[in-house]
Amino acid sequence: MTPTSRALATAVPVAQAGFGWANARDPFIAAAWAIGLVALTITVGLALQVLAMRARSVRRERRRDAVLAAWRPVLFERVLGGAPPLPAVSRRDEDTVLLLWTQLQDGLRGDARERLNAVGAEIDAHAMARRRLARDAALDRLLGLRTLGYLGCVADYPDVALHLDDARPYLCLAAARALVHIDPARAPGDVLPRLAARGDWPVPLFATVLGEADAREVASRFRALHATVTSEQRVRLLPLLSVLDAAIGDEILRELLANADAPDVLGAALRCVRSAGLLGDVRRLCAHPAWAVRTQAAAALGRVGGPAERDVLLGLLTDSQWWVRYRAAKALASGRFGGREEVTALASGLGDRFARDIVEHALAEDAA
Amino acid sequence: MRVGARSSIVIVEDDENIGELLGFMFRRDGFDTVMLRDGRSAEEYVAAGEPAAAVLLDVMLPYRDGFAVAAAIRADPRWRDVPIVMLTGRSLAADVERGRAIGVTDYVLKPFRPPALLGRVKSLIELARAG
Repeated sequence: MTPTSRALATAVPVAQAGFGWANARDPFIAAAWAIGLVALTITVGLALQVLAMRARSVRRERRRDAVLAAWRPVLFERVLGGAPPLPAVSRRDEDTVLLLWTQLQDGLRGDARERLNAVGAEIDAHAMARRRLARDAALDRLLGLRTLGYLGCVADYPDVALHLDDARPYLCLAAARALVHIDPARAPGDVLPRLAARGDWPVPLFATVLGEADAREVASRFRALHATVTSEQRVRLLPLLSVLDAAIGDEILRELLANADAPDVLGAALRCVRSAGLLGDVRRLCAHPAWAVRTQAAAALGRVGGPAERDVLLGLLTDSQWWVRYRAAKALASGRFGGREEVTALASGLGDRFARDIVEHALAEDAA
Repeated sequence: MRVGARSSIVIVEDDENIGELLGFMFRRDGFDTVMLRDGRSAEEYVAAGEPAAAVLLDVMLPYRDGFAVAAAIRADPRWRDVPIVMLTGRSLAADVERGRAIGVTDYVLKPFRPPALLGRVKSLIELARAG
């Protein structure tokens, strides 16, 4: 028997036994065949879909690169004062052009921004932005808000302000920034009360945004708000001090240090002290009953104090709380209050083993 | 003082559009430019490449920040006298203090005015060549 005829002879009984789709009499085998075929079809379908998505993404990427290659030199030339004609913007390239336009706005100022706005007017960026603001997708709205902000059209203010009440904090941040660009004097009045109320808003990021707003308006709104909010909200709002004029910030801090009762508020306020003008309040708080306040007072003395504060810090070296002693020792070891040997001798002179130990610890840390 | 003879500017900026704009602006003014996108490649370039006329350095960079790159530039005797201008979007005072110890020549706050930046870099190059 040849090998071919031997294979045929074995194949016939296999088919008769029901191992073929058409001849399968056993329902389990028929079901297995069916499931196998469906799985194969789905796998092939998914593979084709992945390939199609990849091809679409490559096409989109190439188109984006082509648009950028056409737009960048023209836009750069416009930014630098030239007047080359602008390429046409098709609907599907609007996102790429608007993104390039807003990213350049982010990095530039002065005449360059005005020239970009002239380009924005030529391509009707306002209409593009309004269309994006009307869509549901967050990315569309972000681009719309950023564009409207830079265009600075006062008539857009109310629609942009509506986004301050959006549930998504990143959209609120974009809206706040746009409002500050549109009307730097009006925006603090809309942003600050929501910043106090919304625990999910990142205050330092909003502080950066408000840093571009009218400083006097921010200060007066902040001061008014401060009088009405809870102590927890006061602590949350303290990063805003970094964007206020130093004198106004000190005034608000002085008011807090003099009148606040809650140790967490006092501690947070002490962490913001950067001016020697507040030393009187800081020195007083070195005797506060809450050790967390004394700790922050010692740290503040280390930042802004001078030789006159050395005795206060030496006194804190004998505090019952390790953290207070540690912060006082770190302050003394900073070099602002005397050299290594001098500080060691002063600590030894206190006759307190813990004071001497903590100063040695702080000096060793600084030397490491 | 020895600075690079070619009028080339090394631009280290991770923001693609701003980096391209800076490159365009300096090329438009007759400079050659070397565009780098992160701190690591900047350090590699400094170690291997010819000294440039000036380095424009962003503070916030991937892998190694602008201060680390500036320190690497100052540590290399061939690049030691090349003016370094840092582009900073953060607190200028803090950056100036940190950069002074490293030897950063000048700072430009972001967002910036392109003509002012160009003028500043050109005068620093002239000063370096004259000095």
